[in-house]
Amino acid sequence: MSKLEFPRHTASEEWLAAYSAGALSEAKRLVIECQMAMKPALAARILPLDHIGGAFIESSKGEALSGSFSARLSEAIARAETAPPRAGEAPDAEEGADELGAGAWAPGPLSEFLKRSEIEVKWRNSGPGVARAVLFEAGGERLYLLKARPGLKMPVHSHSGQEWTLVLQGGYHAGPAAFGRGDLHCEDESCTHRPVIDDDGEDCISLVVDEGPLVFRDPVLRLIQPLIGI
Amino acid sequence: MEPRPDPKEIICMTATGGGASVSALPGRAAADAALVRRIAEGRDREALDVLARHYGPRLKAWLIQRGEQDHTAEDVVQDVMVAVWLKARQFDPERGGFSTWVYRLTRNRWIDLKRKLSRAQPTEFEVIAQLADRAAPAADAEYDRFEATRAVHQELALLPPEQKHILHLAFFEGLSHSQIAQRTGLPLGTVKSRIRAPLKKMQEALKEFSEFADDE
Repeated sequence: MSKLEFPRHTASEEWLAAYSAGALSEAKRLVIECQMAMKPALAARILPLDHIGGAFIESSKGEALSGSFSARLSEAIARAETAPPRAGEAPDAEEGADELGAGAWAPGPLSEFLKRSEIEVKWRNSGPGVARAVLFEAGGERLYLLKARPGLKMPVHSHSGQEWTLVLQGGYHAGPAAFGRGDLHCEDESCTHRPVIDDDGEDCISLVVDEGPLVFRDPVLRLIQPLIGI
Repeated sequence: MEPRPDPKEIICMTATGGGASVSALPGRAAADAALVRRIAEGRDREALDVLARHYGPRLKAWLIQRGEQDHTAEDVVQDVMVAVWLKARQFDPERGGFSTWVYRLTRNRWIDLKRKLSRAQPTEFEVIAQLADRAAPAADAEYDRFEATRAVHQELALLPPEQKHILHLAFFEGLSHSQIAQRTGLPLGTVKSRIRAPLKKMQEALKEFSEFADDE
């Protein structure tokens, strides 16, 4: 039997349960979907959670359907069966994503999201060796891509609320913990760290969702923070 | 008429004050699979009605729990039932129970709808044809999911009602651990352990059906 390789780092069971229950924000859901695309074995961890949801559905208390439901269902089926077939195969999720600035590092769900939302990846410098591309802000969360050059030592910082970082390319270390492609690093305001980008010749690109700006220890960085946007 | 499970196969059926009841009914899963087969092989509309009568109201309740209006919830249920009709041939009972499949169809359809509404675009009917359980790609072809479904149902059915209620709040209502603590008045640590312990048991049970290389 083939072995499944679980990601070394992923969201906690609580967040995975929220994913299964459809209770995650769009940004966090996208991050989980991207990690699943990069580490298919993650689905095996979510599967029992979906089974639980299915079991509750099977035996939960229902809300009565309207009297016309069955008739409307028949009409909908008739419409579906007479609808013209879609031309060709399903479109490649990544087709066209390059035009929006996403490279080979973008997993399928991210490419799909960029196309669906017609969002172009626009990198902006956020300090020496760091660039950022904001994708959207909603519900108190920001979703963005972060690119850092190899070997870069990020400034010591903490966070304002939750921060999830999914590594799409390259990798970095934060203390003794190593994060590589497909790893998800979840932090909050209780953690202060200094990530160091792996010096392997490759930019580190991450998909990040956070609830507020970084909290730098260095007062100078705090001063220029509004200018660099992190 | 809805198929009745064999009483001998009923492991446990418990109702709680919180509405969290779980049945471990292998007969239900087998009957559901037979109904989907009738749709796939015979385009049997009555079989779809039987499934819709059982699952439709429950899926609608789940959607209303998520904050949807009555008519939107019913539209989503309708879309899901059309998807069941169109994709019945793709359902493989050996790969998982119908309840898990229809739950995923509903969740994915609802999320697609929210995404479309957030961009103020009309819902396209074609999306129904894409409603496969694509949010959870196949992890391992050799993974015996039918047995896995059964293992999860059995573990759930054996839980005491108060523990089941907490799982219901987490997995059916989608509450966070701290929201559950607030709702139930239990300490956060108790909530976490009451969720973690059965999950661990289920994962243990699932290990019998798969082999994981956990490099943590």
